[in-house]
Amino acid sequence: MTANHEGELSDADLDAVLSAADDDLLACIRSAGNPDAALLAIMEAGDKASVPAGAAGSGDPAVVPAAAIAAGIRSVARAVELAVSVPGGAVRIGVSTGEEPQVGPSAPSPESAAPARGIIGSPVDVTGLIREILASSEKVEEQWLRARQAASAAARSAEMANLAEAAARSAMTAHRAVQAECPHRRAPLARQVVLMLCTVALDGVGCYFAAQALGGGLFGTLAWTGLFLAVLAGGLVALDYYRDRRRRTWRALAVLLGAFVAGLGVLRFSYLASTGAAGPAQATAGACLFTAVTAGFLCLGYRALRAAESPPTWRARWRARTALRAARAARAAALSEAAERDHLIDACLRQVRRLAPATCLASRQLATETAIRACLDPDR
Amino acid sequence: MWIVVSVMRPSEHDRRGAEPAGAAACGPALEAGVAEARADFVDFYDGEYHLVVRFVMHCGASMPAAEDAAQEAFIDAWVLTAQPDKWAQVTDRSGWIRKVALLRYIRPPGPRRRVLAVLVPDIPETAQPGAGHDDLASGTSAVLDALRSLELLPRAVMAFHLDGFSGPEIAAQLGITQQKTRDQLKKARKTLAAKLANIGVRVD
Repeated sequence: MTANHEGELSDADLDAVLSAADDDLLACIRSAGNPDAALLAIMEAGDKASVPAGAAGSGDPAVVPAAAIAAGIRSVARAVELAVSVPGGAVRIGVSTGEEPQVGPSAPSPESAAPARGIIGSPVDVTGLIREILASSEKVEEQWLRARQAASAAARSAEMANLAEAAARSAMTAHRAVQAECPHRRAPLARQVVLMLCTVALDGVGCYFAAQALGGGLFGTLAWTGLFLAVLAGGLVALDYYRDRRRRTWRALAVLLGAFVAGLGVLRFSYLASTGAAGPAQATAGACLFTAVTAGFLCLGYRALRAAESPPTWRARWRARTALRAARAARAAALSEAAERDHLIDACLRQVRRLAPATCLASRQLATETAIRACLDPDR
Repeated sequence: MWIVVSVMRPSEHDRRGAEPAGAAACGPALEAGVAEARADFVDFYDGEYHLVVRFVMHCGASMPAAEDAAQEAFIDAWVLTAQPDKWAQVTDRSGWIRKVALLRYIRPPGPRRRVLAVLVPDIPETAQPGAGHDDLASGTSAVLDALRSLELLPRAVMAFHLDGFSGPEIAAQLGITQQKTRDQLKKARKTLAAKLANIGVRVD
């Protein structure tokens, strides 16, 4: 492969480039490793890892946690990697303990700045540089302490946000599961109840005319109107309730509600006929019209209730929505904490950039900054 | 702490006859099943180890990190061979070991975090042991750089694609839809073609 600066790669060229890179990479991997030694180490570590969990705390030195085994594998693999280039097949190497800087609101001690693997593969020791920077001023030390605290707080916030998002996902899954039981009832319950109450309220005019036939003055008429409306609303709720539970009860309720609406029509007719303002035909027409309108509004209210989600679905949706809001708030807080952390770390790195040219090569500056960033924010 | 490691090729007995922990206490039939599963594992390891390391490198890892992740994945597989029934249930082993290695790379066991590879076009100041990016051809390094510039999902899809997995297999391993797999692959290829052309990589 060579490089030029012409045009864009076609699909065929891209496939050829990727294929050539794959072959080169595989050859490099094959030449670099010792798969047999790694296999033996894997077998040994795997057998130790498969020891029952109850034995883990027994104090038996032969029982090693899986992570430690993995670290041991890496050490052995590195040793083997080095040894293949040494005649005689034996080599002495240092074994990394795998310790990392402690997370917590403590000032970043130079000792915690373990040599990090640099950008070109060699370790970058920033201990001296950090010691020099911290010794320069108390304010600087305080700033580094705040950066470390901010990094710790940001890590906690990120963890809390992850937990909140997991809880929100769980609540949304629960809502979907409950919703799947009634897939055709998806409309929000509160909105549909309000719609139903509106249709019942619109029946109020017809019910008022019917109540006037009973006499009793204005207060009595309004009381009767309220009673009629309550019966209509209760009838609608009962119809919706029994529709999926007891069909016979539902039919009986439907008949009773129809009879009640017809009774309201009779009351209206008697009122319109008794006032004498119109003839019997006009009174009949008026009563029928009001009865039809009342029945129509009742149908609309019933349809609104039937489209509404069930109460368990409403509760599950409410929980999911609450959890989602909490997750969004937690994520926003985590982002804010992360921004504060980055702001402070950038301020610390500015001091590093100011001092680094005197202490290390310019070509290593990026690696140095990466190592210091890892020291200040070990969770990243 | 210093250790001395002798380098030797494992004998055939070492490779195939390693006794699993607790296997001796089981019945002869189970023991035979475990031995068969472990012989199967060795063949599987011989055929896949380097490819898995390359797969994890395609996913953005440096060579040491890729080897770590691959070894941790094969440890999981070796532990699984102690239960031949479960090992037999792993039907698509090539895809499974890659998925485990990818997960091990993204989230290694224990409280450790991998140091992400940061690429700088620098020549090492001192000779480094083992193979590194300096041993790779410049075009290969450019391809790896371009792959690392992708987001994690398209990078993983591309890595599976480069290892010859079909769209449905990739979708099954990554737990995404086939349509999303196609979309991510198309996006990754487009980005790679643009980046590689931008830095002037071509095949003679």
